[in-house]
Amino acid sequence: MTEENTDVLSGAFKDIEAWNAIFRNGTTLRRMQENRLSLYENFDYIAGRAERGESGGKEFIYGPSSGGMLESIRFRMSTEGERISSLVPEFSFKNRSLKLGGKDTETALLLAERINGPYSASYSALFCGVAESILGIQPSHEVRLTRMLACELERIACHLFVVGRLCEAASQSVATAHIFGLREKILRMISRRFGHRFFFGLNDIGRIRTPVDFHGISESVDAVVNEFGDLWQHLSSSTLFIDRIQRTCPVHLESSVGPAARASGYSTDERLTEGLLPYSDFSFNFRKEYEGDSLSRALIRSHEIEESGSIIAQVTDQLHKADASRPASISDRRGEGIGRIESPGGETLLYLRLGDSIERAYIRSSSLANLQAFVRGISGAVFTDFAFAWESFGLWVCEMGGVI
Amino acid sequence: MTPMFFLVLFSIPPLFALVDRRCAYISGAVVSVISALISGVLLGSGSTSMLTFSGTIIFRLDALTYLFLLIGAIAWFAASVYSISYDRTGRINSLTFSISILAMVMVIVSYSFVTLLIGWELMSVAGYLQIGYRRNAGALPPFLFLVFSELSTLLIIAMAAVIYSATGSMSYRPFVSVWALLLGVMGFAVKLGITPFLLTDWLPVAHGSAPTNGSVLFSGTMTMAGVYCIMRFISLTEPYMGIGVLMMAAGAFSLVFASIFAASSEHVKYLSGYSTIENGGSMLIALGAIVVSLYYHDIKLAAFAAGAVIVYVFAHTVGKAGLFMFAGLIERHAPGGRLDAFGGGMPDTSSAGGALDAISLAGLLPFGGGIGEWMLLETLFIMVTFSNYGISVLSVFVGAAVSLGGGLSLVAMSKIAGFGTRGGRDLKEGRGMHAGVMITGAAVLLLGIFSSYLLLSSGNAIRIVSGTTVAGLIKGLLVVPQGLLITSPGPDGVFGLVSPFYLALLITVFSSTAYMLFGFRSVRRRVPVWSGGTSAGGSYDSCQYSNPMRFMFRHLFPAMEKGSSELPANAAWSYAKRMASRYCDCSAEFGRWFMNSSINRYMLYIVIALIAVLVYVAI
Amino acid sequence: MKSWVIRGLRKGVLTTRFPKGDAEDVPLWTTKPVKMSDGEVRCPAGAISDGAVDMNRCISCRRCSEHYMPDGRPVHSTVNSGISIASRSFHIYMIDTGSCGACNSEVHSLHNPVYDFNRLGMFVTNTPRHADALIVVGVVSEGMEMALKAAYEAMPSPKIVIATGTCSISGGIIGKGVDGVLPADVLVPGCPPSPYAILDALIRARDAK
Repeated sequence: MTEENTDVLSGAFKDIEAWNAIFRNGTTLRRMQENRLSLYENFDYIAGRAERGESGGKEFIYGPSSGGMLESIRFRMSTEGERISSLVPEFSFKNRSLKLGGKDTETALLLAERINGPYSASYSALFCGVAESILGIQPSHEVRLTRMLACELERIACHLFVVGRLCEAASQSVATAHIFGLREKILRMISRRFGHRFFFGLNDIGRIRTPVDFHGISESVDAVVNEFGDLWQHLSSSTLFIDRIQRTCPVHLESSVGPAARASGYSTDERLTEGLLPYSDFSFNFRKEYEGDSLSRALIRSHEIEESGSIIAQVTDQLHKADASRPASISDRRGEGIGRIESPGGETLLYLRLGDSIERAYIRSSSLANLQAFVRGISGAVFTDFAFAWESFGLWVCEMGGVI
Repeated sequence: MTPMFFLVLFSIPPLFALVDRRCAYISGAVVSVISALISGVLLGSGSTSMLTFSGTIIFRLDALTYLFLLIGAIAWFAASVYSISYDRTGRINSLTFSISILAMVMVIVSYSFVTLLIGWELMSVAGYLQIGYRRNAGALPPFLFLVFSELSTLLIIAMAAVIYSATGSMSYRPFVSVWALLLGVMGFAVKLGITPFLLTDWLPVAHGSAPTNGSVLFSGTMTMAGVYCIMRFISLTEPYMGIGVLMMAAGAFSLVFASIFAASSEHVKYLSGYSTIENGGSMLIALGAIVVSLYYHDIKLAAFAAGAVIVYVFAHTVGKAGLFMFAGLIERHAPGGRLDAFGGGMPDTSSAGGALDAISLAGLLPFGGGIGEWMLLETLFIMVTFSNYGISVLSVFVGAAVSLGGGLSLVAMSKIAGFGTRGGRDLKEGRGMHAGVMITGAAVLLLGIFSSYLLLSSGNAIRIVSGTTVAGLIKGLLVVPQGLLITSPGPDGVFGLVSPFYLALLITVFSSTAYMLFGFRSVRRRVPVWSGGTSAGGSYDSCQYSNPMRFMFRHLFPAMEKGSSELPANAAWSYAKRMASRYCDCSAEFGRWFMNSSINRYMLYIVIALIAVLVYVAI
Repeated sequence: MKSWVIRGLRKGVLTTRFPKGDAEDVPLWTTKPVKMSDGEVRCPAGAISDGAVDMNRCISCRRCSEHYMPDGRPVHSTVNSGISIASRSFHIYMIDTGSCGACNSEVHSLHNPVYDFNRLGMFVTNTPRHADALIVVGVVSEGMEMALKAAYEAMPSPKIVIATGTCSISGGIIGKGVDGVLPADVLVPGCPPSPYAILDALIRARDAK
């Protein structure tokens, strides 16, 4: 980290008057002046201040509560008729002001699971991982593998959901039904093995809470992945579908994360770095696309579904069963830590400072990082492209509010 | 009755204006009523009178003069009533306003080129002053007004010169010169907003920037004066088909573009200004149709087309006067004069008046504008049957243009009527303004319903132009009594027919029956709009209303900036405007250096010098 | 095109037999925990008192898993008042007032071929103007409170409010519930409620006299 402007700012929060910045792959906080931070174009987004913009021109208001969007978010779109010339997202309507500060780790974990329900496995693994590293607890290999397995299953379910929503937006009703059928299959498999469709209550600091039987997971995942592969191949031959998502909302933004970044040619994937989960023990293909459009994002997701299937197969080869262990002994160590995890939406960042209770927590969610990419890509698109653009990013409004 | 009577009568308000502006307007209203009554009575009588001072100063009253005096007087009456409450400035506005009216009267009663030109120039000067002395007026609008007025004067002088060299007289005489007629038509058409090379935008800028009572005069009655002059000179010469065709083509071209610009304009007064060009185009087409019909010796059709011009000019003059007054009311309460910035609240009287005017200008039956448009379209349909294929094809194209323009004007007019009359009724303005608008609205409605009687009583005026009257075309049929049915003269008898009176009657009967049956029982529920759960934004304003128009015709508006209140300027205009403003800057610099005074006064000096020369020549 | 048809036929029927048949694969930790052994349990949501579990407060956190075990039967929702007028065509509008996304996803699951609630004459509308029932998911956040009221106002009568998930019933551990803002007619417990629970609640609300 020599020249700041060449780095990618991945998080920034204000802590008693001063701004702290976290850069991509950085492990420490950096104190910075606000005027220097505002040189980074994604600063307003990752600091959660993107709603202040003026859209200008004639405004078309969409939301916050609408039938087309799954969650509550309002868009102020300025338009001169058919095209969206610019857009301001207002995502704080449903902000729950989640507060981890002042809570003990037990309660905070419950909240962390509920920052984004569909990404719950990633969030709880991230929170537990950072808390463990601060507290000096070393979870067993078995626990780490279980968490990884949960994350990969979650990735498959979420990617299926995104691709399904994209098909739904593109009026591919038959394909939509097939894909949501597959997602239901995965969710049911998760609920049979893990007791909950969204992994709530699975992770605990230093352990997993209930025993999990891995036997046969790989086979049922394989069946779903193969069927999806077949479906996707079929969908790709539908010119109607491809026409709608190709060259829609093209964007190249270095600060974007996850599938959105990989679809526009940036190699960022937390699974490739030495992180909280033992991905380095397993092999999987890494793939990039370069167009940055909705089709590329869908291609990346369809590819990742396959690769997650392969990771799951490798994990279940090593491990057949994970037992619930005793709660870790309470340690009174203090300190701070930064952790990252590749949630289905992309790199998610957590900064945690522990005292007697949690003193400060900051989360930069993948949706917040990618929101800017959506806003940039959508300008110039016609109104009908809005749904294809939005669904292709797979953003969740619930995690945009962040935590205090 | 002597022409001197009208000239003296209309000289009273300017004298009052030297004392007090309210007196000027009140006397203007009284004088207008008197002259409307007198010309209305004398219109059918066929009496003429001539007043000659020398070989060059000649005034004359005949049926055509009475007709245009009647039309003008109604508009002047409404405008004077409006101005009583509107004008809160000094005396200059009321002085120039009443001088403008006097000048127009002079143009109409003139029977020699010298008096015509004096009146014409006086009109320009008064208009120039009225725009130039308005607070916050930029340098460009008055300058534009003057440039195009002088252009028209130059063409008329050229015409007079051609005729003088042929006849040796400055008085109106029958003449045989295609060039003279061409120059004259071009000169007068400038006042209708018809200028070559798509440079139509000067009119909305100039008329829109004037004080409202000035805009009313320029757009309503000054256009009428132009039509009057063209009609007069058509009656004095033989029909040249080429000129008729040229008039129709030029009119159709301007009409289509003006109606597009009108529908996509956001500034209320610019919208009205473009609508003036559109109506000017329609009237020029009808005038051209008279010429072509006369060329083919179809005097019945020529009479019918002349009737169309008369109804049209009546509906336009009075309706446009009303629309500009309505627009003036909106402009006062809308930042930048933008219709989308207007919050609503127009009281019932002016809402009704403005809506009536707008409906008439949109060309809907049974309003005056609708009857005029119907007659024009009928004329064009019948012309398709002429033996010349060229004329048939032209008529089809011109007819299509008129229909297209009519459809597009519906967008513009429904926009101003819809967005101008919305909201509560709490806007505070003087009663005179509302009354003025209402007078014009009632006038165009009555004109439409009783248009058959107007056509009958202006028989003598029509005879002057076409050689016959339309009495044979006003009939009765089945339950429609004699005199309430207008028919058009096809090659094999009646071609089409309409009875505005019965249309109005049926509409009234059906709508009041429906209201009585269902109107009282219907329960009105007002529920908050569901807009995603918040009350913010999402309003549908006039700008969005005409956005489809802007989008469809986007290639015409290369210069339009995002969200600007500028005109939807076309490319040719943008270039001309740049050149003009550069010239304007240069001459302003020169003026400052040379006269060390305001450029407006310098311009005024030149024009007054010109009038002085003309007067000197006359004596 | 042809292949889509063959693919569909080969796939067979995915749709559950519920409510006529039994519910398959009910997520274990959305069902009611039953006491198995004695011992101290610290329930973060305060759902357990004197050995009884209040499902309207349970957040499926498994903190009680040492002494309690879920019974595996779908939970029945509380139906205070129903809307029998909509027995043939029941239109719902979902409003997200501050959820974690899981409830949204489960309500959305009702469309998928497995639950396919259209077969029961239930439909989703895109505006509250056409809705018989308002499904509220998530805690009532400050920003959405007005929108929630506006949506309820915009609905034609008769209308019901279905509080879906612990967050909207009681606020859970995150915020405040729908109570106090709107009268909740149906309470669907769970964090998130399983699609079966939502489906069951919709059926019972529609059939309630």
